[in-house]
Amino acid sequence: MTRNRLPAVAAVLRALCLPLRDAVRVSLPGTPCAAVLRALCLPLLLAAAPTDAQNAFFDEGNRLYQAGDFDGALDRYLRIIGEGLESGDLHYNIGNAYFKRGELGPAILHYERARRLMPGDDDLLANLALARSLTVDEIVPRPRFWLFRVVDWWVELLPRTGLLWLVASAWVAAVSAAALVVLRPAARTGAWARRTALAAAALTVVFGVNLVVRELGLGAAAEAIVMADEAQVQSAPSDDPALQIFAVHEGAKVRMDRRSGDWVEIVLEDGSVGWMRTRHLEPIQAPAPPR
Amino acid sequence: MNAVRAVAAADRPGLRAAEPGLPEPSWPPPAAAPAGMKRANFHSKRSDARRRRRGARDRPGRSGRRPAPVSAVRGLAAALLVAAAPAAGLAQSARAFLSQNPVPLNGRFVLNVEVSGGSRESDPAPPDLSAFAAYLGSGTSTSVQIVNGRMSTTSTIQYRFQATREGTFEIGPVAVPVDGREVRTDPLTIEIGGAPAAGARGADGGVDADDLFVIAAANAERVYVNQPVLAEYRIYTRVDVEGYTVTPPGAAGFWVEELAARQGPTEQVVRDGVQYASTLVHRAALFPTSAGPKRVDPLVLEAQVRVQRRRGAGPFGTFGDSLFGRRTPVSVASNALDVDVLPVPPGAPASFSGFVGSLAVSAGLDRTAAETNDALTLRVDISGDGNVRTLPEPSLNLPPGVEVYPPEMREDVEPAADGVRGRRVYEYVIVPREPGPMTIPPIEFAYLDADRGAYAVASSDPLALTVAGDPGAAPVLPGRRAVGGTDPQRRDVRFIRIATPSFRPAGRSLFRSVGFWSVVVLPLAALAGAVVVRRHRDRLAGDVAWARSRRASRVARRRLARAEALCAPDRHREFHAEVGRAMQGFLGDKLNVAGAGLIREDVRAALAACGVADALVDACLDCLERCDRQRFAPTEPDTAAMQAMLAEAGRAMADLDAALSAPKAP
Repeated sequence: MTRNRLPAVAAVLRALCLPLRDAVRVSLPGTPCAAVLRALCLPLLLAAAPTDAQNAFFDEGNRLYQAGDFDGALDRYLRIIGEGLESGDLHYNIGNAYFKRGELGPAILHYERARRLMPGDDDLLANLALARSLTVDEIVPRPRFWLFRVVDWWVELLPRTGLLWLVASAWVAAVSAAALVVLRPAARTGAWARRTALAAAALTVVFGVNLVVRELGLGAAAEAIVMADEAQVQSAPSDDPALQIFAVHEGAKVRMDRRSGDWVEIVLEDGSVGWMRTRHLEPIQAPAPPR
Repeated sequence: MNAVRAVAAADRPGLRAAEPGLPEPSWPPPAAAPAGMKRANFHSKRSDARRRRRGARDRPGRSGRRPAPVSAVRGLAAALLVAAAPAAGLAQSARAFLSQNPVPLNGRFVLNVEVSGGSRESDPAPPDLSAFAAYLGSGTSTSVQIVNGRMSTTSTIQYRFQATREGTFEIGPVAVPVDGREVRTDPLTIEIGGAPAAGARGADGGVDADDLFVIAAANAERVYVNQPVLAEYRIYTRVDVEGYTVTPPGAAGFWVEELAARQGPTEQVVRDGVQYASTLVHRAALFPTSAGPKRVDPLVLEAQVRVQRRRGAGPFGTFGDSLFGRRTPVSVASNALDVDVLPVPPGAPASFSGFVGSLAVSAGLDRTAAETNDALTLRVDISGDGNVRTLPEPSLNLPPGVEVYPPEMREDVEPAADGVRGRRVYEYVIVPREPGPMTIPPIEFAYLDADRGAYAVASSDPLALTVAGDPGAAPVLPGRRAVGGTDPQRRDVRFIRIATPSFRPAGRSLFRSVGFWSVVVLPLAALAGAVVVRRHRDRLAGDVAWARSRRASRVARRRLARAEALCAPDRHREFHAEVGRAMQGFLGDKLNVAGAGLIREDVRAALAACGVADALVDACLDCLERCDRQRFAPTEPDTAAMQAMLAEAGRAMADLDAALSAPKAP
């Protein structure tokens, strides 16, 4: 029952959230009110507005991609990454460019990175599934405890930008309504304001927790993608051929546990455990660039 | 289907070394040691003790827990060793001798190796006499004799052979490991041939070489590589054989296809004027794998033979003899077969895979009309005389647009009159992906016709197939990935994002951004402001005196402003009334009393209680008094005096306000 309802709830929430984001985005260039909004909100929420250079790289990359020059497109996209900026769409496009070049490992890596920024995106999930289906290893994930599945589903429910807007709006609405309650306690508006404040506060708490969990990465495992064509997995951190258990191939997703020197203990999605060299792996959560 | 034992010929050389024990040397049984010898069990016990001691050495950690019986045996063994010391001190010697010499062709003989003094550590490997004799088996016997207190140990190893070739041959020295050394016997000379000695009984308990023998026969002596040689082994006997086991011959350089011996009837045949019972015991098709002279080793047959009581035996025979005779195991070997293998003639066609014999190929589809993506069955049937097992998979050369899956194969091999006949059926599942008429080309197999010595090609008929369907409709079947890989035309990623996204610094936490904290804090600040406003309003509503006092200056200022508008000589009465109301109202508001009924003394007393200087109070009261006076004065004041009045009233109220709101002196 839970499983049947969850997607419906997700769809409703996303439907509520997307117009909000679009409305903000669309209305920004127009009205003076929107100009004020942009002046106030955009720098606050997005912190780093894209410069013209990055937008130019992105557009040029898209043009090259459509012309079939995937190497060129990839070069432009990666320059934006080199500036220390990222976005779900950017990682998605990079994944596509790698896929077109036939490099499954980097393609899956960037799709996974995009997924952390826009978890429920249909196109992204379709491309990721296609890329995974072409890898050598066919790993059947082990079924997980239903509670963890629900929590994961909840954490990944909304794209990051949408979540930010939702929480920010709910917070502002809750505080404004509370202020209204304070100012006009007796009038009829006061009763409405009280209800609004409660609802918005509830929304803020529920999605605020979601946002905090996601931003801090609470409980999220460190995951990585195999980049080598084939990597041997040993039962212990040693190159001894006798200890070899199995091999994984490019594009396989692994969870990283303990480390020992340049060895890391990996767990496959089907539960297989072993050690492999870190140089064969590329973590999905890239280390923060030095500032 | 025949019971088939196909062993690659290249594997055969190892077989001889591995198999000599197969007809396990249970003959003669250990209990049947020569009579008259005092058989001692000491030797075997001692070797047992030695074995255990070695075992104990191998496991040093367990030496402290050695079971008591073992140490008892050890003690006994040690005592015996001491007793045997004089004998052991003598030079060990080994001697080889034959049970008979000369030996008739196909007659059996025993090579005895006798070791005296010392203890044999292991049985030496049987000497290699394969050039002229077939090895049948071995047995050992040990005897200990004590004569005049001196003990001597003699052990004899008996190797049984059957002579297979005529001539005079030398048997090389046999090396026997004794007490860690190697003792060698002298070489022997054996003569094979001639008629068997009349009346001489064989070594096998009363069965002569011409009472029981096996003859091998081949259907050809000159064959091409991979052309079968059918070898048949028949047993001839005039004694009562109750059962037998057959050890197939070693055949290095041949691919062996064993064919189950037809349990043919036992025939009565006359051979060399003697009547024998004869039956087929073994058949095999032998496919030579390379050219040159080849030899098929003799087949060894172990038979249980019932022999009559010997004439010299006691009236009731020995134990184990029945009334009708006693059962004896007898081993016999067949003759060897020599085959001359010819290489295949030059000029082989491209599709020749080495097959010799004859072939027929046919192919068929289960239907000739289909839709695109339908699964069809293509059946390829190959049959012929020869070694069909070595045939390669047919090459189909299907037209493009037809997908083929790995076939299922069935195989059937059966003996034929002059070799082996076999059949292979391949069933392919093929899936046409594109519509249109198409032809599956003939499937060809070339072979060497051994009778004519020339090559021939067997070929199937071409197959026509009509495929109907929409050229665009080409769905990806589930499970296609395993065979066909991915078709990049049909599976592709979805398109890239074109709209410029909002970029953000990678890896930077939201909680470090100014924006986030602004959004969190600013509404809170607004809320705090609202609370302050609310509290202010609450005080205004609840504290009348404070509210009037807060309001006093504003109200007074409003009245003064109105008065200023009246500041004209012709309206001086209204002007002064307004200024007086302003001052009166100001004082009333400040003191929270009704402004109309103000009494000078009360005002003075109240303001003095608030700690206001008398001068300020006087200024206010003076102003008020002058206003009253001017309202009723007959003279018209000029505008400048009215302006001064206004300023004075304003200043007086401001001073009083400042004095009232200033913190009071304690």
